[in-house]
Amino acid sequence: MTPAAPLRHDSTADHPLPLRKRMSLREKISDWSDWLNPILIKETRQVATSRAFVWTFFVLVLLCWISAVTTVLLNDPAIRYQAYGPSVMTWYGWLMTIPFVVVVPFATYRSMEIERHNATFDLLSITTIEATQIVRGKLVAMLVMALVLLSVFTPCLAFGYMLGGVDLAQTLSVPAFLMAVCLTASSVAVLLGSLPRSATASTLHSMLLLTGLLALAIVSLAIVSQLLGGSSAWYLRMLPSRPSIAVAAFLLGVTLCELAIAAAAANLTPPEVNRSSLVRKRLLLVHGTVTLAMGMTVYEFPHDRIYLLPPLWMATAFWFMMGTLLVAERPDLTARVRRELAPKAYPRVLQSWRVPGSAGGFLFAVAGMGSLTIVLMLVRWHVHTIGPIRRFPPEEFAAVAATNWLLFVGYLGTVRLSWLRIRRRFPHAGFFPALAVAAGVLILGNLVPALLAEILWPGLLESYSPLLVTIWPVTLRAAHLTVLNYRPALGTTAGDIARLYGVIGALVALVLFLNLRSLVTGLFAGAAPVAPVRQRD
Amino acid sequence: MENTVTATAAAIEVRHLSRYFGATRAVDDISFAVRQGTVFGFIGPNGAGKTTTMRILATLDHPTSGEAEVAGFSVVSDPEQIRRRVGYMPDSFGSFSYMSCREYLDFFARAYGLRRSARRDAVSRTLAFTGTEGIADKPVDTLSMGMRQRLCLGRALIHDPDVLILDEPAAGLDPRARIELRGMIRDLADQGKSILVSSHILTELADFVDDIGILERGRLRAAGPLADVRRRFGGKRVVELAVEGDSADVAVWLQNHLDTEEITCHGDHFCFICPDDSSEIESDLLSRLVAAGFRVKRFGIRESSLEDLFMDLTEGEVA
Repeated sequence: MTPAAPLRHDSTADHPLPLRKRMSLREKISDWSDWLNPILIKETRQVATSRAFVWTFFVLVLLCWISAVTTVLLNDPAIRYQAYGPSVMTWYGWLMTIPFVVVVPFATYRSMEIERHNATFDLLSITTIEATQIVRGKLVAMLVMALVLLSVFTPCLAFGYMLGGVDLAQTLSVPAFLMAVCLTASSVAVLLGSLPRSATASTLHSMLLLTGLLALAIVSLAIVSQLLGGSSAWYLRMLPSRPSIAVAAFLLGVTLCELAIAAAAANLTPPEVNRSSLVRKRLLLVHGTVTLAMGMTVYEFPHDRIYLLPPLWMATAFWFMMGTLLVAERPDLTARVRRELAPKAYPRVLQSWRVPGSAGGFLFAVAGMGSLTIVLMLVRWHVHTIGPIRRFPPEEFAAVAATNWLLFVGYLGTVRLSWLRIRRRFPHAGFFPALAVAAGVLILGNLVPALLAEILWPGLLESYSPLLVTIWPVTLRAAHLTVLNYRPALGTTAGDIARLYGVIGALVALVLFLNLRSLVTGLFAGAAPVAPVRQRD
Repeated sequence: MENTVTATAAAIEVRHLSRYFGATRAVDDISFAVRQGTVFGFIGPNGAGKTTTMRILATLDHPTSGEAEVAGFSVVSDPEQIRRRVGYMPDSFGSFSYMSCREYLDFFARAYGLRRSARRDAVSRTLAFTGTEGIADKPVDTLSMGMRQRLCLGRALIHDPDVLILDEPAAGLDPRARIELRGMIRDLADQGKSILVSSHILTELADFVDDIGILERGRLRAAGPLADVRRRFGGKRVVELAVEGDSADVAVWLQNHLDTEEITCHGDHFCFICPDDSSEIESDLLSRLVAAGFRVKRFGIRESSLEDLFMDLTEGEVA
């Protein structure tokens, strides 16, 4: 076992084998796989030879076989002339749900967690593999495993289809739906698995994920039953008749998965490297599809306010959450990150949304929510020009959306300013305290004024006063009901409305100024030159 | 204390490197260089900052201040370039379950971008060099400690790097495996690779390193060629003496006739450090002992060991 062979390859050394040796099939396959992601190959090798996967595979084969035989034996001879397809397919659908919705996503999570536990991320980090490749490799390997498991069910689905009572679209919709759920849940699992944490937190995360996956499995079971039973659920009715919304929803799902992948990759990247820009680009992609989905919803349902406000509120919640995470980023930029920035100030201003740091994050979130608001207003106006509007006219919608945006800016700006102060005292604080600060600002900004108003001036909440300006729901309601039409709802007068906009406008302007000051300073003054990579070879 | 070493054609160059974790100064303003084609032994007690320094050099961590260059590239701004040129062996094995040794090396060859025959050749050469050909198809999680370390070294070598950073490669190995590993490291240095190696086993390091750096509480206590460091910080010769008869008389005689601080006595065996200017006493000592009537069984003078040097320079404190 004493080392003897020289490590360096010497092409002039003696070759014991002929130079034109015939390649084996194994070598050919190995060469062909060179263009694949190495993580995908590693994970596929590991999973395919793991006991857990082999057991799952054979148990499913056994269950499918027993199901088919039992169905025939119990229902013979009726099965020869009656349509047993829906009941048999529903059973197979349920059987598929557990591996696709629970087993595969949880295996993805464990795969990430084991890398962290065994300290093998370090080994991967010093290779030329990028963090995104690691995450994608793991995800795709698990989907390959899902496809292998799907192959177990394919004969069963064909059997169910041949029993009659279900059409081809219904038959195919079950695996398609479950694969989509599997991909989405695995993306979330991979993100959760990438979070750095202690052993206790790891156990807690595992339990939370498992609980969430089981809940998702129950919902999926219900949807599978509805898909096969010809249910009249609203979403099943809506999607075929509104293909544009279906496409927008599909794109939104894909971009959200991409965002989860980018965030997981960012978690695996050292903090000194720019791990923010990729997440921001994906966020921009999600923003684009959210805007498309919102626009399509408003366009498709112009007369019903139910479909107008909830999307706006959901988008606000999404951007507030993302905005909080963005403003929690560290403000200092390392030499590596600075090298990626535009060398001149004006291009840097234009690219500020993708520059890591809290000020750029604030600007990105504010601009994102603002552009979404403008798109929704434009779509609403466009719908108004092509058809009659029965209620919730575009002016009213625009007023509500604008007020919503102003309050968004005020709240997020306050979160950032509060967070900057806290970070000065606790420089190593992470993202979760930032989320707690955001929750605190929301509660203090909404609940405290409401309680004070009710205690000091009982009945004030019934009318609108500038005192209540920070209370998001009350202000939005006031804006919704009265802003443009000066309706006497809530006892509000035209003067109150003027004061409302005056106070909100002044507060938002102040918050914007305080926040953007650091951005401008950073963009124009912090452009220290960084040496380019040296070319040595 | 000497905190700076200059070297020509350095494969690794560290300048005023610091790494703080909150208030803890894991690495505190250290500077040293690893010359090309040499082995640099990095020694220090637990918590001295060896692993932190090595992780920074392997681009797994970031310095709080200072600069380090590996193969001519900065760890701060050009980590991607360094990763292509460095092989890193951490103190933990980091195994993948359900994978054979060959698959393990094949994976890392792919991860470093080796393709087709280059990849296959790299795997074969590495298996041969590390002596793991016989266990190539054995699962990695069933290997003995010695074989794991060999495989771990193979993984660090798979892309034929110019610089190797080995963190405690001999930890947990039996004597035979240690000797074999030492031989492999020396072979690699002879092939022109620059190696930074840390170890707790000082006697082993002394046998195959060219340069050493002694680290304690994040500070570099001494660094440079081993002989130079011995001369600058040790330079003492140790006299070992064994006599027949009453050892108490010998002890009294030595204390009366020699100007040395401490004389260690184990039975009839004496050990003491000669004063720096005592060459005359040394040459004369044996004849004076015999003349005094002592029956000398053994008499020898040796250089102070790396262990002596380490104990002299460190105080056993951690950061």
